[in-house]
Formats: sequence, structure tokens, C-alpha cells
Amino acid sequence: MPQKRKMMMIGKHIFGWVFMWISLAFTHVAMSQTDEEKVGRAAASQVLGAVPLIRSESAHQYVGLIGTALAANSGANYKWRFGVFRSDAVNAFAMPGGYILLSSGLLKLLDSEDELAFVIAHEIAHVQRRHHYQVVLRQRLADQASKNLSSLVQDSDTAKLAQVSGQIYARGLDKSAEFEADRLGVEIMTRSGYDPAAAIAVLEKMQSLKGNDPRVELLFSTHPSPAERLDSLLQSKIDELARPSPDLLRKRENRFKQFRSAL
Amino acid sequence: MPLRNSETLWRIIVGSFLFLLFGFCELARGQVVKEEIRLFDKPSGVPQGASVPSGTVTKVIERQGFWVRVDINGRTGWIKASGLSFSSVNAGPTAIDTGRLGTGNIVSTSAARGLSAKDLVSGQPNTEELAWLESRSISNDIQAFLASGGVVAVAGRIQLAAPRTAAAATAGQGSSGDSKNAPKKKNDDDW
Repeated sequence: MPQKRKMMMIGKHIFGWVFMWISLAFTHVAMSQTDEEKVGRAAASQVLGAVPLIRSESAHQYVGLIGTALAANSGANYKWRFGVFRSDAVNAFAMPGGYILLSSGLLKLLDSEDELAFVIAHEIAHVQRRHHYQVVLRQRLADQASKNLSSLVQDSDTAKLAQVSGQIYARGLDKSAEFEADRLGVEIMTRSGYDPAAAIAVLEKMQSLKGNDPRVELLFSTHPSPAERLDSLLQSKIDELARPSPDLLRKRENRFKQFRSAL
Repeated sequence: MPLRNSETLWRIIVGSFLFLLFGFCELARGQVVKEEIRLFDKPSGVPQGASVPSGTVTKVIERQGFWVRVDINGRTGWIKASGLSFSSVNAGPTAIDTGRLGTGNIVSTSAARGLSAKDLVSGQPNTEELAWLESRSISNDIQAFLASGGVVAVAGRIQLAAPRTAAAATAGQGSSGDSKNAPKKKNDDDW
């Protein structure tokens, strides 16, 4: 049966190749995940170099519990970390790999846990869609094109990564990425059991702030105007989503007030 | 008499200017009715009175969920917020307020300090703060936390409608001036 043996040999050969490529693909996925986290750590440390964390265990738990519940409904698998930094600025940052930082100025502006859920879900959506990470990858490609291959910026160059990250957050993303994060954020929060109308309330509050207010200068220069974001969300048929009953909304009123007053 | 006449003239000029200025601001703050619509007596209520033509500038008085109560030349009623355009008259509060800056209406005189782009770029990484954040763990009682807050996950598919390409392109004309089709505008190679 030399013919049969030959077929088996070819079969084994093909299996070996397929196995090798699948293994390589898995290794690639695992490695890129690690790189994403590395970029996120560098970005988070850069932002935290400008603003200090609020080291409150209760605030950290409250934001972390809401964030973890939302992240579980995002479909993105990361080691999520949620922090609150002390700043009058109304802003929040999402870093690759699952690092999310919220300003105390933004949290003080909010009036309910559902509004907070929208803010966190918007940031989770940025991570899930890899909005910032893709900018870093594009930058690496640009570096490749402009420099000698041997002098490429290496993944391990954390100082460069941190510097680059600071520039990304100072400049902001494409408008389309912000609209997408609003839309996905509403989907995530609604799936989790929060009120989608709270997203409208958050954007209304941002709209009420003056453009020359130093607290929102960076937010307004890096995001579409709140009016544009409102229009975009309203166009997406947000008003067809079911809302939780007022009884359920009342249940979380007090704990949010406690959290906010302790900031 | 000549003095009084010139005083009157000045009053008329200043008055007209202020009228135009505030009139413009009021218009700029309004929201525009997107399509012909009828006002409702309450959210999810019944329509009443004559219909309001598209392009009518309204003033939002209050909001309940996805419904807003609007004032149209003294006539009030409820419509769905999605029936209004919030950004078609202007680019939002940023544009209005920047315009108002010229009149000296600077409201942010408080000690509030923002976080500037310069702070983010020129700061030094703080790994100690990052280490604190990474050392924390979240309580395992997530289910208890959600239950006590009445947060009940929704079963079934929840998906919002993605914008049409044309709408997205129009939306990309605002303050930061970026769009999907112009990645170079992000100055990708300036850092």
C-alpha cells in the first residue's frame, strides 16, 4: 500500500503546517494583547504624571464595580482598571489594554449612577474598538516608513510610548471614533441595565458649560461639540431603547449621592 | 437740541446693535425642527394644534427621558428630542460662547483649573500612581451591588443604528476638523 502511505504522509505534512500556522496566529494574538497593555500602562502613567489619583478605597470600589459590570457586557476581555483623578477638568481617558481614568470634575457634574455608567461605558467602547491603540500602531508604521528599519521605535521604549500617548490624548481622536464610542457606550450601558436617556443628560450638561471655561477646554478641543454628539445619538434611534422603571432608578440614587459628596 | 439729537441717535444705534446681538444669540441657542411635526400635550400623549413646519427654531424648556417640552413663539408642547436638530444652527455652546467672549462675558472667573494639552504632553510619567491603581482589586460582590441598585441586565440584542456615511461626513465639519477620510489631518507624523 505505498499509495496509502504516501497519502498519509502528505496528510501529516499538511496537518503539521496548519498546526504551525494556527499556533503562530495564537502567539501573535497573545503578543499583540501584551503590547496593547504595555502601551496602555505607558499612557496611563503619562496622564497620571499630570494629575494625581484620588486614593479613596470607597470611590475606587464604586467606580470599579460599575465599570466591571459594564465591561462584562462589552464583549472585550481585558484586565480592566478604573481610577478617579483629582482635577477640576471635565474629562475622562481610556487607555489601550483596559485602563480608564475619570476626573473628579466630571464626576461632580453628574447627577446619577446612570450618567456615570454612560461616561464609563463610552470609555470602555474606546478600548473595545482599540481607538487609541490603532493611532499608536499607525504611528509605528509612519516611523517605519521614515526611518531605517534597524532604528525603529521598539515596544520596550516606554519613555517614547508615554510621550507619544500624551500627544494622542492632547490631540484627541477622529470625530467618528467619538460618535462610535457614544453609540457603543449606550448599547453597553443599556444591556447592563442602566438608563440610555442618561446619555442625553450627560451631553446636555456638557452643552451647558461655556466654551471658555478652563474645565472643558481640552474636552471641547478633543471631542465633537455636545450638540453634534446629541444629534448623532438621537439619529441612531436611541429613543427606541427601553428604559428602566423609575422604581429601579430610585434604588441607586442614594449611593451615587454618597459617592459624589465624598469626592 | 443738536446734542439731544445725537444722544438719541446713539441710543438707537446701540439699541439696534444690542437687539441684533441678543437676537442672534437667542437664535443661535435654539434647536431646529427637522421635519414637520405636531406638538403633543405630554410625553407619549396626544398631538394637539396645527403642525410645526420643518426649519422652525424652538427653545427647549425641559426634558423627560427622550421627550422635550419646547417653546415656539409662546406656544408650548412636547415632541421627541429626535425631532430636533441641536447642531444645525451653530456648532454648539463652544461656538456660541467663543463668539460671546468678544462681548466680555467671561464667566469662568472661578479658581477652577482645567487640564491642558500642555500638561499631558510635558508631564513626566508617574509609575508610582500607576502602581497604586494596579494594586487595587474590585470586590467580588458585583451581583449584590447590581441587585441593591436595581440594575437589571437586559436580555436580547441591543444595537443602535450606525450613521449613514453622508451624515458622518457632514458631522466631520466641526470644531476639531477631522474626518475618517482625512487621517493625515491628525498630523500622524508630527510626533
